[in-house]
Amino acid sequence: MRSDTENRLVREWLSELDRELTKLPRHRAQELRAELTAHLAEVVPPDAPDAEVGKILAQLGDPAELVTEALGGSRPRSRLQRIRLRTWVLLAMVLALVIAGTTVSLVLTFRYAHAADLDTSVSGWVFGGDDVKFVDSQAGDQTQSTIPELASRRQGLLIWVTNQTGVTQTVLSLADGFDLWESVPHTVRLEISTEDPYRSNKTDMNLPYTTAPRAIKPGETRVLRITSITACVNSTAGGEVQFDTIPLRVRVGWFTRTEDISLLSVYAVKRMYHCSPMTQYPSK
Amino acid sequence: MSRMASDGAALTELRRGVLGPCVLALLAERPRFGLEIVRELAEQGGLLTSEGTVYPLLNRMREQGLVTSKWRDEEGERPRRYYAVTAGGRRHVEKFRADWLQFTKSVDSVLQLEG
Repeated sequence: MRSDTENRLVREWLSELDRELTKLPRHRAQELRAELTAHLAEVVPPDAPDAEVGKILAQLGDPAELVTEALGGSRPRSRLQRIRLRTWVLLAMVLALVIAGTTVSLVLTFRYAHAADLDTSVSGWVFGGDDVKFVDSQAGDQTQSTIPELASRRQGLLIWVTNQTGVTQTVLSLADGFDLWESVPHTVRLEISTEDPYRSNKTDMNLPYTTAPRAIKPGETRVLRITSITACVNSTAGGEVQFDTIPLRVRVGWFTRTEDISLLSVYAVKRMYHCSPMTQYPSK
Repeated sequence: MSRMASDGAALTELRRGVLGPCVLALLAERPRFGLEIVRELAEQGGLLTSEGTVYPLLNRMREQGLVTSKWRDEEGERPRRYYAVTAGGRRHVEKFRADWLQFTKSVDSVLQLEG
């Protein structure tokens, strides 16, 4: 038997149907086409003359009307109407996205901009291996701890910081220009514990540490270890440099800012003048 | 087949309204394939605007969950999509039967009064 689609009139009719079927969802269009093709395959006799085929196609109906019927009997929207509708739908979606995106951005920006600094709960000195020379002295209700500054020993500060805000804060580095020792060659190292000291059985010196940058999630506590080695030693006559905060570069959302991390106490570091011969540094 | 070239718009709308329930009524008897439905409705005369009308109607009713369909490939026959009425379709046709009785009764009554 000859395939229905071999007849020129049938082919034209199906081509017109295909153009109309674009108005239907794909799965429905495929189903309707399959049914009408099967119908034609059964009712168009092989080698039927064009007149007979034309009559059969007329009985089957106009493709546009059949598709209209599939759409529910209402005439489909014109191409221009459909383009306009699509444009409006697209514009509405873009507008909704822009509004939603702007709202989220504003809310986040507000949260990031108003997030409090990292909060200090403990601070202490990292001894350079000579803590037996640690001396406490009392003056009124003030206690002063005196710790020797040692050449060629790693010394510095330990600070427990907690992120009390609702957003993650990433410690990037010490702020530019921060030095532990004034006017002597040294490199300050910033490390951050990878564990929460409140949830660990280890002492803050024995926690595992990593280098910055390191994210501190909301509610987490981490220990900052800020240390340095110098070849110099202090002089009793050299005066001192005092600080009660450590400036850190911290990223909060899309803002990077300097947070002055409180030390809870005043630390006074003696100025150094007497350095070893290998790294002699001219005195002032 | 009796396609009337001079169908009035009202009759076309009337056909459109009753064709769905008629197809559901046929399917409520037993599952049928598309061409079978076309032929049975055509035999009744006056129900179809065109033979093809049945296919978009079936397509729409399947989308509405009134009928289901599946292909059957029986020996010696072409593969055909058979349609069956769903429970929802059955309820639909039952309701139409009741409405139709009331409707035709009212129309008959009015027409007799006017005649």
